[in-house]
Amino acid sequence: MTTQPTPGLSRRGFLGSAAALSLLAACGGGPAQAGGAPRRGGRLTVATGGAKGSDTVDPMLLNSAPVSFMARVLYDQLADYSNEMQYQVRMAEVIESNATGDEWTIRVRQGIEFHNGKTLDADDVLFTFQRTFSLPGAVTVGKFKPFVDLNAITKLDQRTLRMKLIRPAATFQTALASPFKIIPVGFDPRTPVGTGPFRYKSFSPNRQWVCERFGNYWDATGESQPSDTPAPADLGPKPYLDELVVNVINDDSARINALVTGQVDAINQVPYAQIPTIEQKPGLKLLESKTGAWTGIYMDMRKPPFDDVRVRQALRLAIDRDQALTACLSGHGVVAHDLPEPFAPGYPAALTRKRDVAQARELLKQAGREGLTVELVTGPVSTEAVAMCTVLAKNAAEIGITVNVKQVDTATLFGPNFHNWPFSVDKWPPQGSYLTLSALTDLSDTTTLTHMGGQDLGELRSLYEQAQATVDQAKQAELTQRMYRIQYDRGGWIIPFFANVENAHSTRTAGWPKFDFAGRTFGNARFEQVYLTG
Amino acid sequence: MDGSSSVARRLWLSRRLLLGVVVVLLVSVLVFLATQVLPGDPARAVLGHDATPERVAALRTELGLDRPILDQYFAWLGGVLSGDPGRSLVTQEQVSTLIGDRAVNSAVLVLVAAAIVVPLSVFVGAWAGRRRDRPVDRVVLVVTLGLTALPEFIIALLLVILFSTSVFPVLPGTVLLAPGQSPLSNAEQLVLPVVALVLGVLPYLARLVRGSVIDVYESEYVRTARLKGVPERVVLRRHVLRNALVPAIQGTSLALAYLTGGIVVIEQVFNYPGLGSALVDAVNNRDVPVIQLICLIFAACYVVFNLIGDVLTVYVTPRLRTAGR
Repeated sequence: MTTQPTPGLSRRGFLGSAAALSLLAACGGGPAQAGGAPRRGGRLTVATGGAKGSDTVDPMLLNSAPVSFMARVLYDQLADYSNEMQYQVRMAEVIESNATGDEWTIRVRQGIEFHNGKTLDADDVLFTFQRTFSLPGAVTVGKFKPFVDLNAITKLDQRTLRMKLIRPAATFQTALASPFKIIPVGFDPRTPVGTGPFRYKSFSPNRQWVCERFGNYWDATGESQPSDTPAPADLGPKPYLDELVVNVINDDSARINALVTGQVDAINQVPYAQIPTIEQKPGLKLLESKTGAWTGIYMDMRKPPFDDVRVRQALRLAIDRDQALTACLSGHGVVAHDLPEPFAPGYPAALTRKRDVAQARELLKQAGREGLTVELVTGPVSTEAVAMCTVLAKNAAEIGITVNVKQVDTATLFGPNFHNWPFSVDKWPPQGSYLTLSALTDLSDTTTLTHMGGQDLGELRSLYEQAQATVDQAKQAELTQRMYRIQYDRGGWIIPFFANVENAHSTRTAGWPKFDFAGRTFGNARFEQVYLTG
Repeated sequence: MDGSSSVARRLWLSRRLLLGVVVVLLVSVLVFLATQVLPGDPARAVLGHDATPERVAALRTELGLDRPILDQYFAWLGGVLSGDPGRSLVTQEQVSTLIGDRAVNSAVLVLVAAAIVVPLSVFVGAWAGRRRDRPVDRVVLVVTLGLTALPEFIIALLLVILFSTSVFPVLPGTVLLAPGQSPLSNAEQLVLPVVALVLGVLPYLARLVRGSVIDVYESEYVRTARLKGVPERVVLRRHVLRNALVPAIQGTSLALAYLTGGIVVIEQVFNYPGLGSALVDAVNNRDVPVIQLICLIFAACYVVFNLIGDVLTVYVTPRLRTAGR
């Protein structure tokens, strides 16, 4: 593209070339930038919320929003989900199982280079598994522990591993596609080395990350995620930016101010109420995507009064999902029907639930629980968590349940009572597979918090195991659907909506992906396809 | 001045210093107890979502949280006294390196604000006091009363709206400082936080000075001086300001102590990387050594500012200076 408007153009001239441009865009599908000609290089400065003093650059300790998206910048994975939650192989050439799903072969691509010049091989993958199991607090361990036996991994050749699993895991590749960042043998988190598009320069917890362009990025010419302003072909290999600076501004208003005054080029976690402010400002653009991330209210199904399915269903029928969407998200989201993972195979879109006060009252009466009073413990696990609980409390009052909302801070919420709150909130990013999610929540080995009672648990577990033991995708989806059905009829989660992810950026930057179904913010942190204009 | 009074004063000073140390120690015990009362602990705060019982137990052992409380406290106290305040439970970094440059940033903010607000308050107060009940005085009274009624953070937000985002977009509304970067290297960013702090303290201090200036003007020695025919300027400089200084010094020391605490809010609004924001985060993470050290610094500042105020008061008040003779 060479017909970009240049600075100092007259209005007539601008209109003329803008018309020509849109014509061109209509014909060739080329991008039309508002901020000027796309250019290579430069520094992108962004501001993020949600940072904590405990943030690290260790890709196995992903405990805050910025840590989790920065891990995508510095590291890469064997497999991953696209911004539209489609499973893809990444650094692996092959990830395949035998017919029973209990033996997996992983071969990495040839010639992928780490930031320190080392070439990725099977030893690095093995080392990553070993460190996952030995590092206290490693987040992915829960996904692998039930399946992986470290002593049953054999190295077939320089690039290939064969893993004999403890039990069949037909969805093992989805666990690899969850945040499982490959690190080189002898990894030291103080001098972090990965294979991501940007290389570590400096990091100060709760203050700033600075990364620079990695010239030998393995996927420099790979396909970019869909964008409204894709980079023109002549911009060269990715990443286009020379430097990426991520500043921490945890306060919502301060973060927006920094964008409005031009101190930063982009921000994430725009509060829903502030969206109109962003939309009115010339030179700023909202980057919004629907997601599969969810905040749910759970009921301990093993303790009264929630051991009675009628009480659970009454509450699920009581909540006004549309009202919750408006009140908590200013409408920026999609109504949910208590079932998570909307992008996973087998998600039953037909199972919906509408508010029904009469039926809810009837169920409560049958259960002999009229005039029930319960305490709902909530905290800032997500921006909408507390508001969501307030809406439920208000709606529940109309069916005769008194819900006392008790608000605590995160450390208290996850404090010693975490596993004893009978009625509380939790937040999960999408896992891409309902089976993977179930293993972490409703069928977890480490907590019985959201386990179903009685026969339901056994039935759910049996369906899960059958699904894990078949590599037939159709069969797997059918079994998954049966699990969903149990959850829909008798489960203990109240999930009123999937919240959109909201970012905003200056029109001096472009190339941002338009989807971010995982909700990691900044277009799933695909900074490698972002470029500056003008 | 004879020897006995200087000995007495030295005794008084050392007693005050000792008391100051005791106060700081008591504060450290209180803060430690308070952190123990907070539900949750660093292990859980760090693990958050993934706080399964086994992993919490493993991390607690690693962080030394399974030791008796008294052990933990004395280990920390011993460390501080020997110049090693320990490591952050959350990041494993040395607490001193963690908050070192933040302490400098906060000190810069407080000192710059104080350097502006103290002379300004004395000036405004004296001016208004001298023109008591005239329009100027009335205006000063109304404006300072209005400012007193506004919480600091509202003042800060109004400043941002006025001078940064909406009306006159001339100043940055957020402070972005790289770790180790001096806040003075980008003075433009400092303007709004400093002005917010100045406007927060000015009303209190200016009204104090005004009140004492009026008191002195009504005193007999000023009337005598005027009757003697001493020019009004000399009366102001020699008699009024000098005597009105005592409450101003006390007020300044209190204002400085207040500023030290008040920065917590201002830092939050402007994203200023100082001790205040570090404290907020440390509390969220139950990072006891960091909480302790920051509270200790705040407490020590209070004690020191009060002490300096008292010492200066003694020096400028002849009656107190010669007491004990």
